[in-house]
Amino acid sequence: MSQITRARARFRMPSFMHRLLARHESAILIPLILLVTFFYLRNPAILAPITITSILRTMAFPGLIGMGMVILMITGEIDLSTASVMSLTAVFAASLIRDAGVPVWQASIYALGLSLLIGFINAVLTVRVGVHAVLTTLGVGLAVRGFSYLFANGLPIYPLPEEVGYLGTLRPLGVSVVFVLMIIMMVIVHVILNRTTWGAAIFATGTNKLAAQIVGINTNRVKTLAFMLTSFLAGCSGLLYMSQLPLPSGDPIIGKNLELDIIAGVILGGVSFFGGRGSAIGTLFGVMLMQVIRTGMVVAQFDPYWQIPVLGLFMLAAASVDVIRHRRSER
Amino acid sequence: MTATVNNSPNLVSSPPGTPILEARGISKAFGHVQALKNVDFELYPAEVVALIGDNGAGKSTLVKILSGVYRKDSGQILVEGQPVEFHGPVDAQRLGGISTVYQDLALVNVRDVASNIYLNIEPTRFGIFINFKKLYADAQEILHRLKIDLPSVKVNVGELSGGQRQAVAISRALARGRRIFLLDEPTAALGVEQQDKVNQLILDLKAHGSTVVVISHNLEHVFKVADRLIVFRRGRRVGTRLKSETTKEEIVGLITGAIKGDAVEAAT
Repeated sequence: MSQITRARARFRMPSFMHRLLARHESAILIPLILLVTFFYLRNPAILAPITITSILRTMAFPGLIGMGMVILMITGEIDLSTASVMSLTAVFAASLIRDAGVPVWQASIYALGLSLLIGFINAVLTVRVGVHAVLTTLGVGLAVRGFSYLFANGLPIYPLPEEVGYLGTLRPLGVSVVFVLMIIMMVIVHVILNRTTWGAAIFATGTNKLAAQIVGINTNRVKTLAFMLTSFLAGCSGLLYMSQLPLPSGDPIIGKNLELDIIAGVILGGVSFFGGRGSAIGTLFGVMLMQVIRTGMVVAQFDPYWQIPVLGLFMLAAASVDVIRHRRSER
Repeated sequence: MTATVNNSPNLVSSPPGTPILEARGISKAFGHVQALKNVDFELYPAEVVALIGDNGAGKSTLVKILSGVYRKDSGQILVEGQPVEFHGPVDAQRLGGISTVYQDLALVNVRDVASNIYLNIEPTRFGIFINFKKLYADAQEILHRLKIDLPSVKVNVGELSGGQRQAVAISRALARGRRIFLLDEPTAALGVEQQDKVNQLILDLKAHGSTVVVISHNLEHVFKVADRLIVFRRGRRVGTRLKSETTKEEIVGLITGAIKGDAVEAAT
């Protein structure tokens, strides 16, 4: 690691590739290419346009949320409630639209407000009360998922007016709206982290809270905003997920099992569980890797029951690398 | 028992003029432990003061109160004669011009030297975008002013040696226009050569008109850099000596209690 940074300091204008590979987040490109090759050898269909489109479309949800999660995890916190927030925002908006006759755009704003509120609750419990973020957001996530089922009486809320499906059927540049949003967020988050004073504050908060506080950074506020951004992006994902369903409905099952894809993807993308490290581009690749594994295993005709354990193993491997790297940097 | 305590010993062993920072009758308890008992303290422009004493003598507690980390139980802090209240480290920095360089240095290891020096006061464009060109130039200038030799301002702080990290921490304070530097065990974890560099840095700060407070166990080090020595023992200030008028033996005696402290300072 130290050699890499020294090399970076020596070259004033490193080539794009050099810089890309010098970032340890980009190390994920290697397993990504290996896996695609592996699946391709078993079944070339992994690189068929339709498969690629499907991968890009599916990874967009964890990817979009991941762009908030990467900031949150750099500040040293985590949010396990995002998948549940997806569900509740969808159900809440659907219920407002169908049962209260609220216009679609207005219901969406209320639902997004709800997601911000949940993010705020996560932040208050973690930052002010001092409950560990894993416990806070696990508990809030369970509660939120529960409310979602209660709200919907356990059944999808439909029929919904046609306009609910509008954004979900749009295909700008041949990809989904979520994908476009994810890319936009990635660029924004990348700029924030690397080019702005906010980024400096985010890294300082997660690396050395004392250092941050000494220079007057309000670490509690940084973390609170990160919690709210993550939850807000989960809310957006929930609404867009609903919009993208073949029959748009406020289904409480939305986002089920997606926690794994988000957290594992972000960690695979080089974000550290200990805070202070991570990048938006790494997150994109991490989430992509998760989806390549999921889709590749289907295409290569592995027993579908292997999917989850394989993803779990990949996450454990990434987490182990993270711990080792962290210990080495602690020295 | 508060601001009325006579600080006559200072008349003997203080530079003339108004103190830039003064503390009167400071007390602080942690539960049943009285860490500081009615302590007075004063700093003058462009001097190096050493706070010495055994572990638990109260010197670190005093520094933490002056740097805004702890709240005092009683007493008064004055900056250039004006009473102030520190509600946190930022107050101490803004109101008092006081910067503390901690033992663990409190640097952001994953960021480079320049980013650490200017953390939260980065030069910007449009208010939020960091102006990296100016950032690196400014950082270079600060290092140059302090004659600090680092491979590059773009090196991650995590890769620097202890002495270099110390220098970055001090540069960070200087970049904020601080006039008073509280250094907590600045040479504790350093090799001899690096200790000399830090000593030189302290003298350079003084030459630039800054006041430096050094907390140290290391009498060798203290006698190299300090103008005044203030000895603490069991939460009290037991002696103040000009370096030119004392010996290591006397200081050791004050630290251990073998030499009785100055009557007024040891009272109450």
